[in-house]
Amino acid sequence: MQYPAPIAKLMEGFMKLPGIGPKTASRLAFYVLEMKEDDVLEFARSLVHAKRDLMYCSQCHHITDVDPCRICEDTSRDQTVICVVQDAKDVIAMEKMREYNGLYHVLHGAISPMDGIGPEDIYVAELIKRLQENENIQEVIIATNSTIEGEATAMYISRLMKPTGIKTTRIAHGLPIGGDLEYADEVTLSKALEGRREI
Amino acid sequence: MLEKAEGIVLRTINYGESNVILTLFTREFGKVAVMARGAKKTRNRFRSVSQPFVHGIFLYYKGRGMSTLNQGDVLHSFPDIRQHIVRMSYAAYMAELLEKTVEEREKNPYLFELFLTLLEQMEFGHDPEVLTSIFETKMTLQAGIQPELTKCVCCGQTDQIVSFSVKEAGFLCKRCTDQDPYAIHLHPKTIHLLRLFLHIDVQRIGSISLQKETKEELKRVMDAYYEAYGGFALKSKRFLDQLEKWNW
Repeated sequence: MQYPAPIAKLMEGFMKLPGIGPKTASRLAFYVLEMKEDDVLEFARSLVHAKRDLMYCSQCHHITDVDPCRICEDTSRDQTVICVVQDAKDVIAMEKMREYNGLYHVLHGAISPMDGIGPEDIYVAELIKRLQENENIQEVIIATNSTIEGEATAMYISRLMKPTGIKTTRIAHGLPIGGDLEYADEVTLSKALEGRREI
Repeated sequence: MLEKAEGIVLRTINYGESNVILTLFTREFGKVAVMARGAKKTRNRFRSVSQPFVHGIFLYYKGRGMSTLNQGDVLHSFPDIRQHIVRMSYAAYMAELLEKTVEEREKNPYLFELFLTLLEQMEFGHDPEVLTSIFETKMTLQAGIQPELTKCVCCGQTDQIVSFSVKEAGFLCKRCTDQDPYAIHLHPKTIHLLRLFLHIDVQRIGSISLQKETKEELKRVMDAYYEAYGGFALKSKRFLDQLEKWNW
């Protein structure tokens, strides 16, 4: 069946989002028709604002509406530690923890030999430049994912960091909180054993 | 229907919020795509088995569409390959080359054994560049583009081989080398190695150490040959070329 042009256009828009096919797009489009006009306007405005007002922080490359971002600007944070993460979503995950009080650097990806993504495709050079310009930094925590790409990125950064003499650390891998040892796989267990600490 | 296979993860693709599609190369059924549901979640049991190069036993439901992973046991995770960026890059290249040249569910236990042995040798610390050259040479047969490496491709003479012609797809002897002005002149050692690599049993090779020039010549031949006849562009190849510039 041919949809009226405005609905077809709306569906086309929804289909640009990840994981949304024609069926879901049509369901969402018809739902929008039933929404209050104010809500629709508010929704449309927030879409436009998110796109127009958000940018990458010139220092840490985290998504922000002010440059430098609020984390970089916050003088109460520990200015001597930088935590390197893959994505902006990882900053949010770290911030939820409320235990880390240092700065961040978002790479926006990871080195992936499988996908042909090299260091020049992510914000590694910017990290090195930032470290060269800021002499206060004493530690870099590499908090990339515990995947093969995350490990490759961590290896590459640690190699670049060696001549600088800045302490470089990697977040621990192992058993999740509440995890049963019996059900842990051998790779996780060996990592957990490798990173054991004295109590 | 449940199917059990011994396989190696060639490639992983994130799908949806937390699922991963694994491309497995199995001993029993060749290349198989399997969906590992929830594999990106921290406590998911498929998490460790859903990493590239993992050699394991996989149990999956084979339906009409894509198979769904039911169980996975790691036999070997090749930690040294995963912790060494150069080895990882060569292993990724071999995996992608394999993935591109084999068809879905085309059983090939020889190729499975070859790939597994080369990963084991790489894990053991053997030169990844040499192992990749061996793999590339042997894979020409699988890809249906095997060059003539026993005799001169023009006159059939077996001695006095001096160059490799991409255009003629094989060796050229001293007399015929002018047939192709772009033929790559080779050191006798490289000629010997190319012949050796094609037929050598990888189970029996020890550590082969080659001079930088020899490795470069082997690479030049294979790069030019695959570029002309391979018919595919490999992302991992681009990465390998970048890696050379890093001087690791």
